[in-house]
This record gives sequence, C-alpha cells and structure tokens, in this order.
Amino acid sequence: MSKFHPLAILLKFEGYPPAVAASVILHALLLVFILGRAVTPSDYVTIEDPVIITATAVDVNPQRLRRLERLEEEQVAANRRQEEQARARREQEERARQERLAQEQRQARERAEAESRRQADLERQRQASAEAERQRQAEEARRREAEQARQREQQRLAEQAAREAQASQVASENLVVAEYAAIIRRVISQNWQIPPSARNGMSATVSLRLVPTGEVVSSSILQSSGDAAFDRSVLQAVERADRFPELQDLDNSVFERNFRNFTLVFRPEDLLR
Amino acid sequence: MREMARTVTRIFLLTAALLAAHAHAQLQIVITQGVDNPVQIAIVPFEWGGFGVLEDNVTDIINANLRNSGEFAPIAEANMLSTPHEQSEVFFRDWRFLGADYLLVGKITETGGGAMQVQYEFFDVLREQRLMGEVLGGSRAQLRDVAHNISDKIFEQVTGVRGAFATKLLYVTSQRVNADLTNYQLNMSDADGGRPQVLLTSQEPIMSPSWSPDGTRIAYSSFESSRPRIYIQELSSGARRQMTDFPGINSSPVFSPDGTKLAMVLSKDGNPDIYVMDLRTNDLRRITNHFAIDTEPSWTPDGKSLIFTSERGGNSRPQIYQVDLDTGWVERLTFQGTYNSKGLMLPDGVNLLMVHRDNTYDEYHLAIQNIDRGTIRILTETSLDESPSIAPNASMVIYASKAGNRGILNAVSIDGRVKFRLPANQGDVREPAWSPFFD
Repeated sequence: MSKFHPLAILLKFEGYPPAVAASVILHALLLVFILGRAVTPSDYVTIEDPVIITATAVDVNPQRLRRLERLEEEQVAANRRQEEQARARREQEERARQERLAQEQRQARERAEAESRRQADLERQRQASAEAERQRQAEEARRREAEQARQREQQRLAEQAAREAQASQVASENLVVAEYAAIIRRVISQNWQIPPSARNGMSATVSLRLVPTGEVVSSSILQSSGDAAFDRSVLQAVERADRFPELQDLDNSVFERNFRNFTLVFRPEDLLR
Repeated sequence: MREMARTVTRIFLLTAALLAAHAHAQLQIVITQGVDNPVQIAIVPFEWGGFGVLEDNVTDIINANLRNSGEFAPIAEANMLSTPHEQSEVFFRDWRFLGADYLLVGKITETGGGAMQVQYEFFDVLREQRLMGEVLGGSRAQLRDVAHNISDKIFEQVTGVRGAFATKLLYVTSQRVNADLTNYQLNMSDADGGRPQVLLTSQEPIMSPSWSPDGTRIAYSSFESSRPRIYIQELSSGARRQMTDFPGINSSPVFSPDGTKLAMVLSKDGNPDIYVMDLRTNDLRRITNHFAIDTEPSWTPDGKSLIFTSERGGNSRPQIYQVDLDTGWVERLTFQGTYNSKGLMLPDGVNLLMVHRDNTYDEYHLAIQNIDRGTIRILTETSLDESPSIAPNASMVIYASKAGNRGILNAVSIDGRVKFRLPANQGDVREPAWSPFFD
C-alpha cells in the first residue's frame, strides 16, 4: 500500500467506492481521448531532427500546451489524490494510532486496574495475613499465658501437695507419737501404785531418757510433788516399767525427736481425798 | 577469716534454734491413773542369834501389820531366793526377780541382862537404794513395840502416811456366866489385838468407851450403879471420875479434839439430845433441842461442829446432821439411803464414815460419803447397832460384828481392800475404840 498503483485502488475499492469509481472513469476517459488522438495517422508526424532554433517566445504549440496543461492538471489531481490518500492514510494511521493508543490506554488502564486489584488483593491478603498473624500471636500469647497459668497452678498444686504431704507426714508422725505415748501411759499407769499420801491436785514431773531399744537409761524428778512417798512412787513406776519394747518398732528419727528424752507428769485424778 | 567466723556463728545459731525447737517440742505424757495394788514387800525373817524361841515374832508382827493395812502384800517366805540380814548380803536382782518393790532385813541380838537389840535395814529394790536403817533397843516384852515401831516407819516411808500400828484399842467384852450373872470388861490392847489388858470389870454393862485426844484418859458409860453414868478414867493411874449422874440416858461421851470438852447424850430434859460439857468448869451446854431423838455425837476435826444422828427427818429413818457449836445451825449431811447413822468425820474433814443402808430391805454397810461430792463408797457389810472407829491415820476402820452368836471385832482398810478379824478373848466383843497417836 505504500506504493501507488491504479489496481491498488481497486483493491482499496471497498473503502471509498463512489470516489474511486468516479476517479477511474475519469481517468479512463482521459486515457481514451489522449490515445485516440495520438495514434491517428494525421497526427502522426515524423519528426525530423528538429532544428534547433533558438527561439524565444516562439509560440507554443497549442496542443502541447493543452497536453502540458492536462499533465499539469493530472499532476495536480495526482498530487491531490496523493495528498488525499496520504491524508486518508494519515487519518487512518491516526485513527489506528488513536485506536491503538486507546487500546493501549485501555489496556494500561486495565493493567493498572488489574494491578491495583492485584495490589488491593495483595493488600487484602497482606492485611488478612497480618490479621492472621496478629490473631496467631494473640492466640499464642493466650496459649502461653494459659500455659504459664497452668504451670503456676501445677506448681501451686505441687507445693500444696508438698505442704500437705509434709503436714500429713507431721500429722502421721503425731499420730504415731500419740500411739506410742498411749502405750507408755498405759504401761506407766499399770505400774504406778498411787500412795495413800497422794491427793487430788498433787503433781510430780519426771524426766526420762531412753535408748532406741525402749529401755529407760535414766529418770529423775524434774519437779517434786513435795511428798517423798509420792515422788518415790512415780520413780518406782518408771523403774517397774523398766522398758517399753514397743518403741523398737519406731522409726529412728521419730524416736530421736520424741522419745529419746521426754517427761512424764504424774497427776492423780479422782482420788478419794 | 571473717567468712569463717560468720559460718561458725550461723552454725551456732542454727544449732541453738534446733535445740530450742527440740526443747519446745519435748513430749510430755500425763499420767492420771495408777493401780490400786498393794505394794509388794519382802520381809526377810529377822535373824535371831540368841537362845530359845522369842515369844513375839517381830517378823510376823510386821508382816501382819503391813498386810492388814491393805497397803502391802508381803511376799511369801518360801519363795525367797536368799535370806539376807544386812545390806552386804542383799542382791537386788533376786528381789526384783520376785517382784518385790521393797525389802526389809534385820537381826535381833541379846545384849545381856534381858536387853534386846533389833537392827533393821529397808531398801527400795527397784531403785536399789537403802532407804533407812536403825538399831532399836528394849526388853523382851517390848519386842512388840519395836515391831510396831518398825511397821510404822515402813508404812510412812512407803505410803507417805504416818503409821498407826503402835496405837491401842479399847473394847468391851461380856461373858455370860449364868442366867443371873454376866461379866463385863473394858479392855485395852495393841492395835493388832495383841497384849490385851483389862481396865475395868463390872457385872453391869459398860458402853461407848472413847479416848482423850492425847491418849492418856478414856471416857465411857457404865451401868455399875444400876443406872448409866459417864466416867473419865486415867490410864496411867486407873483413877476414875464420875462426870454425870442425870436421870435417864447418860451415854456416848466423846472428847473434843482439844481435849477440853466432852460431848454426850442426855435425856434429862425429856428425849435424848446432845450436850457438851466443859471439862474445866463442868458447865453443861445443850446443843440440840428437838422432839426427835438426837444421838451418837462425834466431833469434826476442827472441833467447831458436832456430827450426830437424828430422826428429825421423820419416817423413823435416821439421818446424819452437823451442828455448828457457835451458831447452833443444823445442817443435814446425808440424803441417800433409807438409813444413815453413826457418822464419823475422817481427819480430812471431807469424808464421812457411817453406817448406811441403801433401801429399806437392804443390809447395812459401812460406807464413806464424800460430803463435798455426795459420792458414797461401800467398805463392808456390818451389823446395825455397832459403832465403827477409825485409826488415827485414817487407814483403817475397826468395827464390831457377829460370828455365829458371838460378837467379834473386824477391821477393814479404808479402801475396803483388806478385812480381817482381830484375835479376841472369850465372850462377846463389842464397841471398839481406836486410840489416837501417843506422842
């Protein structure tokens, strides 16, 4: 399309049919006229070597002049046509460019929109993931907190259990001590002959020292009743009891803590006097 | 260096704290109950190095004294593994093996001219200690006194209560000769019934003998002049003084704890009431004045009141009352039982010995009522109309009882544990009265 060709017009015929048709007819008529005249034998002239005459302002051959004029006209028309074609082409190109541009713009816009959508999506995703992260972290913090609380509770329970275990150990030791103290009380009571001089309210305290076999190794009056017979009776009760073999069953530390040294208080009740 | 000092200080403080904690935590066991078992005592027969057999067996007398007190359970001689007579011969293990808590050993020697020497030693077997020992002298006739003396010392050493073996008893015996003649005697013996001697003989009843608080005089009611009169008799001289000659009843003379007054029952003003005579002035003061019978007076240990039996409560059910001598205020002491009489306050001023019957058809009992708490403890059965008498250390009660048709004397330890019959002469034995301590 870059080179003009008359046939090309036909090819381009669909674009501008009336104009082209007119132009073709016109051109055809012109051609027929011109060719008809030229080939007529009358017109045929043998041209001899023209003598070159220098002539100035010699009269122009009218035919030629017309031809020239026609040529000129043709040239003008051709130019015009060319111009028109160029213009059309330019316009077409412009349109195409415009279209392209528009398309490009559209595409760009679409791309931009897509991009912005993508960006928005990304942003949304980012926000979503940030939110998720935040929630995750919050969840994690909660979880940690719960874990710590659980651990604290566990520790507290463990400590409490330990305390309770200790308390129960103490309690169980107290029970054991009470049990063996009851044995001692029974044995001593069975061996204590309360003398007639004893009176309600009298009291004597005896300090005892034992060995783990339960044997009494020493006993002495810590606090006298003030009555010699009473004091002797309580020391005799200890001597008569002599040993508490049951104490052999005791755990050694329990024995050491409680029965290595202890005191007996003799305080008769329900006497007649 | 400073670090070390600090460490030492820390260890010291820790130890101190532990010791303090330990001291604070020391176990204390309180014993409130004991056993009521008699004390196991081994009395090894005293060695007699002289000629012949001694009339009074010191060992047997001590043995019986301690056993009858209810506080001791002598170990049978047959079980003894050895027979030591002094400390060097004593092996405590032998005696501990027998279960003896105490051991008495001794020997009797004649020092010439009929004088006797009794050496004794007394041991705490459980604690392997010699508690006491003495050498006592006297005549053969005084061996009983020596035996009672040793008994008293042992009793006091072990029980914490003064022994009352070297005391005396008064009692009345009667022996029916024939339908028209009955001989009455007022007797005095050792507390164990030994060495009886006659203080007064009569063909008329002798009643309610009692002791002056110093043990030098006795008072009794005698019918010898065919109506009852109250007499006071010096023991050392046998001299008598007639204190009353009122119409009606003149009975139950009782010396006040300070020995200056004599409480008695007189019916001179109608029915029997309680009177107190001042022995220095012979002034007589009427203490009770009631249409019911008031009788059987006895003094409270502080001498400020009299205990007596009265039927003023009605229903012919005698109860025991106490009258304050200063104010004349009468207080009823017994509320339990259908019959309470012959009240005697023990030296503690809290326990009242009496003849007690719970229900109308029950038997009579010797009983002790704690007047603070109102609790009544039965000692033994007894007959209705016999007065109990308490040993001065309140360890025993003597009372009259019947064996078949014959009156006899029984004694019971104050806890009711031991009851025994005193040896008696012929005839009925009645109205015992235990002497005070002879200081």
